[in-house]
Amino acid sequence: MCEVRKAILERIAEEVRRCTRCPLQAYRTRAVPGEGNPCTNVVLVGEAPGFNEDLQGKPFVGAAGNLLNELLKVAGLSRQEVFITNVVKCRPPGNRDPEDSEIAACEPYLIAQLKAIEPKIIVSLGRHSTRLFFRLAGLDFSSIMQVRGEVRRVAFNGSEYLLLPTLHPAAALYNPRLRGLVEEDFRLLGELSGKGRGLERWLYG
Amino acid sequence: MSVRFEFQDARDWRYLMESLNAIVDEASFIMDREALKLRALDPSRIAMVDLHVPREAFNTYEIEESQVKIGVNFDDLIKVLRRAKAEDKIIFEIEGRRFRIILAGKAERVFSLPLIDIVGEELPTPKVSFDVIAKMLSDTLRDSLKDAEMISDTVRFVGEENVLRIIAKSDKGELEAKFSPEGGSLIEYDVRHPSAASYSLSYLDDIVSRAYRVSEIVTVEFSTNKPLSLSFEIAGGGTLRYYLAPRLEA
Repeated sequence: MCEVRKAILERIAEEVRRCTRCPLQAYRTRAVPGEGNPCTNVVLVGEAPGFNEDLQGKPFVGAAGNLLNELLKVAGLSRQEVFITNVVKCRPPGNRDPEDSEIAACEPYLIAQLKAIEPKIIVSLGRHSTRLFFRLAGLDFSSIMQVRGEVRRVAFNGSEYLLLPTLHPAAALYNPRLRGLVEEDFRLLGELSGKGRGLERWLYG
Repeated sequence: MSVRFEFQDARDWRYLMESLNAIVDEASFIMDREALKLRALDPSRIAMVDLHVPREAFNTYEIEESQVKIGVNFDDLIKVLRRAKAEDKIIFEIEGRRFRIILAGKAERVFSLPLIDIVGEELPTPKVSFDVIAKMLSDTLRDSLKDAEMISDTVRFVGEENVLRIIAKSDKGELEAKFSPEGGSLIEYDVRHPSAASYSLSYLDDIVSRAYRVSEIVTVEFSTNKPLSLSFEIAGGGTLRYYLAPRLEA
């Protein structure tokens, strides 16, 4: 089963590397399709590759990546246990926000990755990622600060997921208050993924 | 294994099974000499259902072994129960690996479903106490949650000395529903300490919009930033109880 999923994800990654669906292809050094465990229950979805990611072709490898690794530890998880990708697979020039047309062009790759992995939990990292999943699930998106930290049962493209929106690690890098919030959300991820104890922590002390 | 139990009203049983299905798609009932029980967490481990129906609630209740596990898929079970008519009785029988459901009205219809093996932990009895206890009509609670759903996907329960408030807030607006014993909207109300906590409306609505048909009265219990408990008394005896984890404020 894992080998089949791995092969499907590699095929998607190849398509991403050859992709010419939007103008971002002209700026990329390397496309960043995503990487991780094909048989995981947890998929983390960021916004777009940054400078280091573009150079290496891997998601979350810079300072924000180091923080993400720390946050995964808070959840009792490691990078090897999850799959990490972005809404947009190529770096927008100057690290600007991805445009709606670029997000739309990349959406089929993300949907195909989720279909292949069939995770139980999607963690949307930041505003763009969360807004996309809210739209797919037919929910109204207000702001990331309003919706973060609450798990929603969502369904789209024929599958059901638990969606946990949180802040983008880059936003929490230099702001201790935001870092506290995102750590709280990752503790919740630990509970959801079975690494924590959820409701039982109150019911059984 | 040989088991047989009969319940007076098949439709009541259907409502009960639909209420369990708000939390789990499949689960094991535990049947012993005293009662039929089911305790299960939802896949996200945010909500729990705890069912207890004593043998006295059944017309007949027969079990040969000291304890039997009955693993069922609720989708399949509910499809059968939806075929029940107004005055049908319902009889469950287990022989070997099959689960027989008999809807007994003017005619007797016998359905047979496979028992399924469910691997899962047995959950101990929850140990939790609450600072606010309110008894109200389940329909009233359901209406308030429907109102709140128009505003937000989170709802806050605030228990003050003489008033229980249900509050929803978002960019779309604000809802505040007030309940009090004096106003007649609370049948009983006990506040040990004023308390407030927020909960996910998607879970709450799913639970209450099904369970309100099991019982006209619901007991709501909570404490500050602790789980919410909703208890529904089953006609003829027994309790259907839910626990829901709080949404902790940032």
